Amino acid sequence: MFKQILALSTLALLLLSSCSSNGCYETTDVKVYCNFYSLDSAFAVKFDSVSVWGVGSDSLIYKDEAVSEIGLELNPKAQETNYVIQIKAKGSNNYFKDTISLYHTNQPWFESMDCGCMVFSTLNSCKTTGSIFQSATILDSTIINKKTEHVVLNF
Amino acid sequence: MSSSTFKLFCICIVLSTHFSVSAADDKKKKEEINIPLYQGVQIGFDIMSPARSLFTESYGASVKADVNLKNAYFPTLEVGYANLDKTSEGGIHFTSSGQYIKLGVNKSLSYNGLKAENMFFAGAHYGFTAFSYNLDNLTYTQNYWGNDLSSLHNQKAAAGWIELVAGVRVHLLGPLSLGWTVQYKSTLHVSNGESSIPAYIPGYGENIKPNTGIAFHLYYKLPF
Repeated sequence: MFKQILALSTLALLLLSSCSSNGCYETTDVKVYCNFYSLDSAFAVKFDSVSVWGVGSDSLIYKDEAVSEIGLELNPKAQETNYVIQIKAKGSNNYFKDTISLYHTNQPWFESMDCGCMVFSTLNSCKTTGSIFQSATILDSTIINKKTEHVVLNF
Repeated sequence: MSSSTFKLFCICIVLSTHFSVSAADDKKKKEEINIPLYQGVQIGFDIMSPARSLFTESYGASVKADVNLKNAYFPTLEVGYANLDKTSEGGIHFTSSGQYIKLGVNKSLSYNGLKAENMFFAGAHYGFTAFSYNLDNLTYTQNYWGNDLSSLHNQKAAAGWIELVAGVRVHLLGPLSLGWTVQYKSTLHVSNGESSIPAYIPGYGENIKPNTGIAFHLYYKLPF
């Protein structure tokens, strides 16, 4: 009896065993989230028309969008990343530009075969040119695949 | 491995229990006979891992020994080596090698033969491994500033896991017997590499929780 059971169960095991991919259930977005606040940080500010692009790049991340927060990807091959933030004045055709400079150190992080590799960073400092935003303050310097408020930009 | 393997694991337990009940009368008779504590040692050679090397670039080997105590309990020690070489659909190349050890005990649920030559069993084992691994052809996930290739070499990790097993062993001829085991595994602790989570763990398989596995062993009974 044992031998028949061994033969049958071995066959069943071989038929039932299969490999499958588990997929990636982790978010792989790694961004610095910058929130707009009033000068005294008393309240959040939402601009009606915001455009953002990287210095040295033509492609827009935000194009005339109404936002109170922007998510910026850091350059994994550099220790400094610069973005231009352009805001259109309400009720006019005037545009104001500011450049935010983010200084960071990078560390690649392999999550899994399905999710692949991300680059985590530590934000060391940041500054603006002061044309729109009077100050930039780091709240959380750890840039990983979790959404949190990293930088406060005071308008 | 799929959840169907786990279902089979459960069926195996149920079947084994069934056979235990149906063999209750036999057991009563056996209980009347005083079975000596030491009933011999069997050495098991993993025949699945070396066979796998015919189809994949991964290979390994393991050997285990279990001591038969009163035909009821089988303390088990297994040592093995696994060399993993996997490439994901996205092209990530993972290589790892390491030794592992498993310690545990099996309990015979039903058996026949004077020294439990044929038996169903279930057990619990603890496994541990310390290993290193390399990751190549890593592409950063889509980034505004473009992608880049990277590698992570000599990542060191360690892992411990619990393994619930159920299986059957059947006497073939002379000192030889053959059997399989289904394994239901779950990591208890994993220390990650400096910049990564190990995708595979020697002796455990893919680093998912829980995980399942199957092992086929050819056993040799020592003549003492």
